[in-house]
Amino acid sequence: MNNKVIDKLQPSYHKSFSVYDKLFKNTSIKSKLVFYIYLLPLLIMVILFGIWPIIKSISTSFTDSYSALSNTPKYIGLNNYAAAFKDSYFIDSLIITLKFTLISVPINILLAFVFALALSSKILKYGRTFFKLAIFIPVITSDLVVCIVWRWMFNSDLGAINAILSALHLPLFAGLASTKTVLIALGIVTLWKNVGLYTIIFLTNLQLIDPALYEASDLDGANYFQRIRHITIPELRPSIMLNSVYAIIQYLKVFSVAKIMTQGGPNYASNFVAYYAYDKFAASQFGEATSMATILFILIIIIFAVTYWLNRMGIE
Amino acid sequence: MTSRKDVKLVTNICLYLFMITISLVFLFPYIWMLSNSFRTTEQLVSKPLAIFSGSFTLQSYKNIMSLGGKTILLYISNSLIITTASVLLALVTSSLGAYALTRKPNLPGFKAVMFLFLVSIMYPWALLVIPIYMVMLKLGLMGTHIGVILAITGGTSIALPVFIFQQFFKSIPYELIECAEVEGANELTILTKIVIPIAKPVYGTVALITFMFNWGEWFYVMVLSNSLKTATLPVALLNTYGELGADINAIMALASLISVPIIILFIFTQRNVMEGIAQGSIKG
Repeated sequence: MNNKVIDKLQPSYHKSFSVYDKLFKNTSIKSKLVFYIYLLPLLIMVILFGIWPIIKSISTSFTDSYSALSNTPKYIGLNNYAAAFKDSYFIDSLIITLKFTLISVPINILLAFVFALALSSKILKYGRTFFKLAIFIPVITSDLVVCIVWRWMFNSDLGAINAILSALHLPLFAGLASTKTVLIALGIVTLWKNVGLYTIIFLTNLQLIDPALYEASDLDGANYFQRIRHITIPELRPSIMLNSVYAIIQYLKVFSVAKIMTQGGPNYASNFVAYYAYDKFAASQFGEATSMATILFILIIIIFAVTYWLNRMGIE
Repeated sequence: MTSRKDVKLVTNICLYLFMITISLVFLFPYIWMLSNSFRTTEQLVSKPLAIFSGSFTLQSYKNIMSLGGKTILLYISNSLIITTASVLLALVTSSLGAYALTRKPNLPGFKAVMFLFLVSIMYPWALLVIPIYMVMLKLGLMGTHIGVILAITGGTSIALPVFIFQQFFKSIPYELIECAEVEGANELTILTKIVIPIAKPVYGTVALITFMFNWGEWFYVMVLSNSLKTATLPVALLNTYGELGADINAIMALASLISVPIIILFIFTQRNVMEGIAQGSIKG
């Protein structure tokens, strides 16, 4: 019995071995194959949690919400997109998101630049690490914790913000409660959370600037601001670009602050696109939700491509 | 001469004043959170800014020992299990993948993989949650630890580790590898005997960074958990909103429990972590 099995197996074993031999005798193929095996786990993750869901999401955007999750989704062409552009709340959410991004990003980049200059200043002899830590700690803090703590800080009865303002005899800040101030409040929170990252990227690049450039300008008698304008900023151009692209993408995707702090309110004043689309999901309007998600995705890609292209043009 | 010295002194003072003010602004929410986690609501209402005064009480921490009818130890152990497993998974997948992509960028298909990877991280992550939910249902992993671990590794946190490893693998001396190749070492030997040993510090940095970010992850965990079985500390904080009502001090205690250990870990490892994040970001 045993022998029989082995006899039977033998030829096929040989056969498969010879196939293996043929495939891998060529060491270059064999050594290439190894790299595909190394890549495989990452590829599986990217497909499972990136590519497949994105394709699924885009295909859902062409279906009727009622049938979206069934096995036979009903395709209705661009109807969801047409509906989205007719939805005044969606148009408003696009405007709110773009406005929030356009105002927040330059402030973030400018402040990060100032912080990085201050942190790299030679006259700062003590406490450099402490200051760096203070600015960076929010980056590694959970955004959920950040949103919840700040939400309470803005609370008009218990919060610290108005307590400080009234102690200083300044006018009170309506914070999250008013349509006029809610975006300012969220702008402060996201700035506080994100600016450390941009600061560290600037700081890393500032340290790479050749000191000889500064020495030369010293000999030319340039003052501090002239040096920043003629040496620091041109040398930092790539990282200014990188930080801007990062910040733009991060701000266009803004979600957590709306989900946790405002639920898009008051009166839709902080109804960012990502949050509005998520809200549609929650209401089982999958077709509408995914079409809005796709519109935002396309917007992000276009803005990324334009900035990337502008950057390349600038370098050449 | 004196005037020049005076100018220098004034700039010095201004710079320090500026940095101290900025640091206070950045640290204030943490101080406020911590101090209120040790105070009572009455104290908070009557003296909102007297953050260092008043009696010291552990009542808020006692209040969060049990959440949603479960002991806090359940949430802590879930957080530890899910975060640690996702860190290990991220280390293996990102280091091997980044190594392959960096050493042989011209192999057929590799450029396409890199492109798809970059495109996929531009998608608004919060909106991938429904398709990922569907993927999880199909794989039968809804509400399981494995499902949550896979989703937070693949869905949100794999990009930065890949970039950090790529940046590092670009910088290693390839003469070493070529030498080994000439001596007839195969790729597996090169990986385990040369590449991984010199990458050890990077593995450490990536592990730290991924741990810090995944520890605070809440959105995917919330969506993919259908019971408290897989609830982590951040999910407990999210649920606490309803359960504790306006018990702001208990919320601050839980928020402190989540963020303070990470901040302490960060303070001890800050140089590596900040360098790592900056390096990884420059790649992107």
